[in-house]
This record gives sequence, structure tokens and C-alpha cells, in this order.
Amino acid sequence: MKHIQQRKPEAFNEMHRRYSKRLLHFFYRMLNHDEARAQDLLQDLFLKLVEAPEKFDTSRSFKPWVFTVAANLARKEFRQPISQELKEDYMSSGENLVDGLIGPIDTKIFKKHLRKELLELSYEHRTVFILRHQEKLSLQEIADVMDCSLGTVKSRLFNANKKLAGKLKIFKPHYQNK
Amino acid sequence: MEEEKLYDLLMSSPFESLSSKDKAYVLQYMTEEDYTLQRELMMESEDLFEKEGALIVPDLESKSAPLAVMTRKESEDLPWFLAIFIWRIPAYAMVIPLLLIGFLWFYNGFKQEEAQPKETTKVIKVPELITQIDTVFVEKEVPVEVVRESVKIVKVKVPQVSNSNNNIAYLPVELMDKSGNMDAPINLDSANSILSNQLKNISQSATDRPELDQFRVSVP
Repeated sequence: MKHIQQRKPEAFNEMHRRYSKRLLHFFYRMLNHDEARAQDLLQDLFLKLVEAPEKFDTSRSFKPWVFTVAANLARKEFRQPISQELKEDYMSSGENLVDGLIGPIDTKIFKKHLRKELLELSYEHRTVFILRHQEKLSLQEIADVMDCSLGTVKSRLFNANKKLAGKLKIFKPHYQNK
Repeated sequence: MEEEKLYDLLMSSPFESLSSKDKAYVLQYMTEEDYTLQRELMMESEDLFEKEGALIVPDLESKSAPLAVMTRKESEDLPWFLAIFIWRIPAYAMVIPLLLIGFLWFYNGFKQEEAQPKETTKVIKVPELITQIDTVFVEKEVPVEVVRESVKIVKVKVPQVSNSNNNIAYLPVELMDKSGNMDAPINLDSANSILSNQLKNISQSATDRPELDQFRVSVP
């Protein structure tokens, strides 16, 4: 980031290579699987970084900081709850993706509905869940991004997990039968 | 508080691997199936995110647009005479002015040809220089010394021995008495001969010198 502050294009290229895909996936998931909007937000984020690189404190770790900026951008665009019609659109668009995955049929169905149920989560629950299980951030890094305590992060993660499991339990009959 | 501990347990190990104390703790809040479902949910989610994520790639625009801004900002920081070297100009912005310049050039050339008057015959005499000779005068000074010699001619009155009383005879000093006696008688013959001899000497000395001819003066 120091090199970006010195306006070195190769530093920006390296940062883009490392983080663009991860940030795009984060936006995609946070913006209800709207890929076009996620691409726009990704571009906005990088524009913010190059326009005001001095806002970054070089003594801090870059990863939590960039995800903090991304989470703030996503919060502005976050729509919750989404309409049933839109939800169905996202479901149908995801079907092709999930159908392409290799695995047993019940797993595919489970994943389809997992995609759908993720849209039902609140901003805080969805953010911590995605940062943890998609971006593989540590609990402390998530706490830095969300500007909250470690305990709060664990609590939010547990509640998000519990909520999803409650909704998806019906797609795992072997757990229901027990 | 219990949520934090339950999450730690979920992350750490499957239900079967938990200690009896932890199992008892978990079972206070959920069933074993719920615990296992939540663990499976986390794994399934990660698998879904990984596989679906591979299908979504960032647009090139997310890279090119910020890079363009970065370059523009860099040029803004530079002095203008250096900044012009990193300007990015679209091809049409180069081609249009070139075409315009070319058109104006041809158009002006065409107009000049039209504006030329009809040819008329006019005889113009032009002096033709065939050869050119330079004349150089060299002045040379020769030192010349002109010396003028003069002869002083002493005019004396010669005492004439005559009977006339008007003639006054002047006697030379040497004709006088050696003793200085003014009253002693003067020998006029002797005086006349002395005088004539003197005159002869004078004239002879002048005539013997031919270089003085040009300065010869006739004495009346």
C-alpha cells in the first residue's frame, strides 16, 4: 500500500491480482448475487483506493482494512429483505451454477437452498458468515472489520449458523429422522 | 457467552470427539443432530463458495479505470512540461488535426496557383559582372632629410681711396698701429691690398663649394 501511495502502477496491479477476486465474491454475496452490481462496487472500491491512498494507515494490516471499506460500501447497497420475485430470480440464476457442481443430488439441493437462505440473513450475520467461511478471515480480523469484540463475532457466527441450519434442516432427512 | 463457547466447540471438533463435559454442555442448548448439521453446514458453505467463486471473475474495467485515474493523478503532480509526455491521446484526436492540416495545406496551395496573374513579357537589363579587378595602392614612405646650409655674407664698407671727400675710408683694426696709437699715420696702400685680398677670399670660399650653388645670392 505504501507503493500505491507513491503512485506505482505495478503496486496497484499486484493488489488487484491479490484481492480483486475475493472482494468481488464478497460483494456478489452481500448484494444478493447481483454480479453486475458487484462488479460496479469492486471498481468503486479500487477507485477509492487510488484516489485517496493516504487514508490507509500503513501501520495497520491491509486485509482487514480493505474488507472494512468493502463492508461499508456493501452496507450502503444492502437490501434486506428482498422481494420474493427477486429471490426467485436469484434462485433460478443459481440453479445453473449449482447444477454444474459435482456431488450427490441431495447435496446440490441443499446448496441451492443455502444460497437462497443466505439472502435472508441480516447484514451483520451475512457479513460475518461470508468473511469467515468464504474469505477465510480469522475471528480477530473479522472483529477488526466489523469494529466489534471477538465475542460478538463468535456470537454472530453462531447465530447465523443456527438460523441457516434451522431453515435447511428439512433438506437433510437423515438428521430429521434421528 | 454460551454462544461464543458453543461456536468454539463447533469449530474445534465433531460431536463424537468432544469431551464428556463439552458434550454435556452442548446438549444443554441443542441436540447432537443440530450440532452435526451446523458443522456440515459450515463445510457445505465453504465448498459452495469455493466452487461458485471460481465462476465469477472481475471485469477488466475494475483494473483499467483505477489505473487511468492513478496515471492522471501522477501527471497532475508533474510539472506541465513533463506531464505532456505521459498524456494518453485517443487515435482520432491525432488523426483529425493531421487531416485538417493536410486539407488546409492543399487548399492554400490551390488558391495560390489560382491567384497568379497572366504572364507578360518584360525585358529587364541585368548588369552582368564578368570580372572584377581590385586595385591596391601601396604607399611607401622613404625618409628624406633636407638640410639647408646658409652662408652668411658680411657686408662691409670698403674704404675707397679717392680724391673725393665724400668717400670715407674705414681702416681695419689690424691696419692700425700695433701700439694702439690712433694718431699714427695709416698706410692706405696696405689697407687696400688687405681689403681686396679679404674680398677675394670670401668670394672664393663660396664659389669653391658647388653644393651651395642653389643658395647662391647675388649681392648687389
